[in-house]
Amino acid sequence: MSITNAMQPETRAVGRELSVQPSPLATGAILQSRYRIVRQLGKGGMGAVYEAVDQRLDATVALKETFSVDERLRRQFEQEARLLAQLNHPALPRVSDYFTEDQRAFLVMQFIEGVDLAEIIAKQPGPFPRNQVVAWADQLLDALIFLHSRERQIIHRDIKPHNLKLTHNGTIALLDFGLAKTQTEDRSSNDSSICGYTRRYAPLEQIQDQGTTPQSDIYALGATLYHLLTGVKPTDAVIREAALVNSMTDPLRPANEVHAAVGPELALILCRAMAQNPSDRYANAKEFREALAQLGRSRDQAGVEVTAVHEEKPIARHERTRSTDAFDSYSILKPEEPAMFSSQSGNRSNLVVMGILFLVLSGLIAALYSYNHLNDSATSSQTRVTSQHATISSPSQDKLKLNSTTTPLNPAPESAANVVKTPGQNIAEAPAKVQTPFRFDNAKPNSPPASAVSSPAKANVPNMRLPRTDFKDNDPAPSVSNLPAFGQREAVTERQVLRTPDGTQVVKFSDGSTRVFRPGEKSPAAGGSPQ
Amino acid sequence: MLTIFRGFLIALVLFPSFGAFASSTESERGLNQNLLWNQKKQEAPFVRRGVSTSSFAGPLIYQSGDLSFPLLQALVFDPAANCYSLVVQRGTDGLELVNLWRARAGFYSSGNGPYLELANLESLKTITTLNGTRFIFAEVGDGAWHCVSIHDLQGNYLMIDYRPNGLVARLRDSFGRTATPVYSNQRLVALTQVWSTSAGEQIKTVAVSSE
Repeated sequence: MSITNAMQPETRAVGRELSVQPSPLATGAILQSRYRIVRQLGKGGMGAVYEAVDQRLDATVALKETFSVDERLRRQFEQEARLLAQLNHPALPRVSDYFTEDQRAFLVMQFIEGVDLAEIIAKQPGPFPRNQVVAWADQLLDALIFLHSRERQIIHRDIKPHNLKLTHNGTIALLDFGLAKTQTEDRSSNDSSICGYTRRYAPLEQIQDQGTTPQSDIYALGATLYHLLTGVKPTDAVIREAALVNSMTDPLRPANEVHAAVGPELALILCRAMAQNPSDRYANAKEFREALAQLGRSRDQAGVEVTAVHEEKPIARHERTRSTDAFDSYSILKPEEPAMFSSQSGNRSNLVVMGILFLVLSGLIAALYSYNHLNDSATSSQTRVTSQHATISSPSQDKLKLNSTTTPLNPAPESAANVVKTPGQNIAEAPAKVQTPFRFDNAKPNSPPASAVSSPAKANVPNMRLPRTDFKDNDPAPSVSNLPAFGQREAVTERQVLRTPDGTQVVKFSDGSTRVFRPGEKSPAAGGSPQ
Repeated sequence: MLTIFRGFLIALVLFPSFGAFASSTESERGLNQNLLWNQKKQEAPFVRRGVSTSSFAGPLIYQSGDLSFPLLQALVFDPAANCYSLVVQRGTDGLELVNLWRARAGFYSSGNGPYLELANLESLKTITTLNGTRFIFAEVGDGAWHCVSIHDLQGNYLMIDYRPNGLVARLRDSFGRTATPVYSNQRLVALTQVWSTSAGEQIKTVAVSSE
């Protein structure tokens, strides 16, 4: 029998020697002639959790054992079990029974299948998608409102990624009520509760054992969200306090500084939730939830505004949807998808319009190509169409300009500079090629068409290539005409133009050199003269 | 183990060409200099005074927070291990080979060293640091993946042009400063920098020795 006060690497038990760890229950052991132990799910300094089968109901349950040698705590355990059994919330496991057997106290709870967020973080470090975390926060705050607003207020006191379980249907569950306590009139009861916490997520008042309130849960949830959103554990409240006492900057960096995709609004919400002084935090979970909901509403409103602008000025629409970082949809660190690809119902119509546009554009390109090809065949003359601008109207009166350039079927060698050519592809044999403004998926030499390549990056972005509207028509595409000479070389031709999501153009030339252009860059200063 | 060994091999192959330390010429003689990109508008882009050259293993370094990236270094992909490797420097701990392993479809994240994240955008790769600085890599003339552009969340950027043989042809930054390497037998021997100050345009060439 060992006495421990270390629940997990960062967890401390507060108080006196409250717990004693008994030997684990063996698989197949039957308790109360009813619950057959299947396996141990986890163990900490204050308790252990088992998966078991309720043989009477033939249902899987979770048995939570509380290590305790203190009779007073045992009584409190019974009180808490009765209290928890009354709770019925989708984000909280149901408590169906409790019992003591061989001086061991057990709580019978609903078994929630899934994986806890700490486990996911361990396997895949880094921030979670912002929208996902906000959705989880909403569910958790709903649970906290439920707990905090009960006649006998319940404070969880150990909210952290370990205690959040992602279920198979994508919802989040708040586990581990072993530490939960009721707010009773008897403050001494609080001091000796079956308590523990995890320092990174615990508020100062809890670490300093000054009593916990609903604001303590708000802090812990804020700290948990901070971790999920940034991929970085929040700074210990004690360390923060030490810095503040010494008139130093709060070592807890705003979440959007750690990870820009969090955004300043959400960072501010987290900042308030994690205020050192409980009175500076949200007054209650409801207020916290409303702040997050307001964040959602403002985003929706932005979407509406964006749509309105889109009807008049498509370019502005794209610029607005990518107000912070054009790479947002291409990174784990920037997990938000642009509004045009959002699956929210409000934007579904946009997707349909885009899809129709895509089909119309594809048809037009094919028709254009066929027309030129047939025309060439009929007349046997060389056709050169440059800078055709086709204006296509969508059902929403949206107008997108397709800057189509066709090249001669048999161009004269001196005109090669205007041809987008791939190595190994003889210019004389090259079919008419339509150069659209969206060359991001420019085919690599001898590679299959980008659309036919199954790219892993496409798993997180829609598998369709729409005309990019973030390039204005007057954006000067780099070409031989504005390319400064590199030394005494002869004229070179563009071989491939790669465009990054923010508009930077990486131009590969036929001589193998590579140059980079910012969007809107007209005449880059001449380079050096490499030897 | 094989991958780690392969990583060391890559480092050994690539490092000798970056073993040059910055030294000074003419008026800058006697000052310790590094070809380390500095973010002060009024100063030359790749010269920072007063720092021991010995703390840097090679010229043309971009600093991002507490991380430094040798710009001449290429991003290496090991298809067998499905892993990207990149050399970075953290503090004064020396250079470190960071392996970026597949995290989920299209994304790789560092399994060791500082946290970096790579997004595979087919013909481009982006590496993002925790402070939001983004490095864009493209396959240049020598067939290797080199950094062509860096931008941070403050709007600063650095663009890098390449010669057909993969050597850096020119660097330009958001302050309008340029730096043009001078090579001899494909080794960097000098860097000509052009930048503007309140006193007018400044041009300075800094020799780079490989002593």
